[in-house]
Amino acid sequence: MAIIIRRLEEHDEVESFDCGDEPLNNYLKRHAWTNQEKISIGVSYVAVDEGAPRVVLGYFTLAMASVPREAFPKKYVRGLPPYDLPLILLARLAVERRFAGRGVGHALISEALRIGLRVADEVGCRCIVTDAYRERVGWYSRYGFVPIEGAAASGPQRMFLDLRTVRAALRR
Amino acid sequence: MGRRIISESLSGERIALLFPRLERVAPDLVLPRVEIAWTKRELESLAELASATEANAPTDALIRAMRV
Repeated sequence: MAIIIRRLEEHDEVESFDCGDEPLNNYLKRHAWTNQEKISIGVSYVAVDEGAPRVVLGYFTLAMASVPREAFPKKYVRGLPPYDLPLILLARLAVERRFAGRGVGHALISEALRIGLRVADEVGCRCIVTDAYRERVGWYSRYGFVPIEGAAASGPQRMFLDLRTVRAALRR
Repeated sequence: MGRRIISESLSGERIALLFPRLERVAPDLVLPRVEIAWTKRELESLAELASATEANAPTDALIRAMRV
C-alpha cells in the first residue's frame, strides 16, 4: 500500500472515519473542511491509499498561534525575543482504527514536522505545540516533544518541540 | 504609497505585486487565529523551553521521521 498525504479535499470520504475517539472523528467530519476553506483557521492533511484515494486513513490539522510577550511572567521573558512568540499548533492527529499500527501515524507526524519546518523557513516560527492525550504522551516523546509543565492532571498534556531540533534531525 | 512592490525569486525572476496608486493593500479584517489558553505555570515552562540557548538533540524516531 502506498500512502499519500495531501490537503483535505471537499469530496474526501470522512463520514466513515473512526479513530476510536469521538472528538477527533467529529472534528474531521464536521469542522475540518470549514476551518480550512471557509475561515482559514487551520489546514487538515489526510493520509489516503493511492488505491482508494478518497478514503481517509488518518489526518492531522495544523494552525498558527502565538503567545503575546506580555502574557509571560516577567522574570521569564529575558531569554525570549522582544516580540510575541509564534508557534505552530499540531491541533489534531488521528489514525483510522483499522489502520492503527501500520505506520500511518509515523507518516503523518513526519509530514506535519516537514510542513512545520517549511513554515518556519518561510515566515518564522520557533516551535510546535500539541495537546496530547495522556496515553499518547510516550508516542509524542519518541519524536522529541517534551511536556510543558503546569497542565491540569486530568486533561491533555501540552507538549513542546523546538523546530531547531527538527532541523537538526533533517541534517542527520 | 504609490511605490511598486516586486517579488524576486532566488532565480532572479521578478513579479510586480502592486502598482502605483494602490493605496490600500488589505481590507480592515480581523484575521482568524487560534487562541490557546495557558496556565501561569505552562507559560513559565514554555518560556524556559523556548528561550533555551540550545535545542535538544533529535531522537532516533525523529531522525527516522525526517528521512521519510
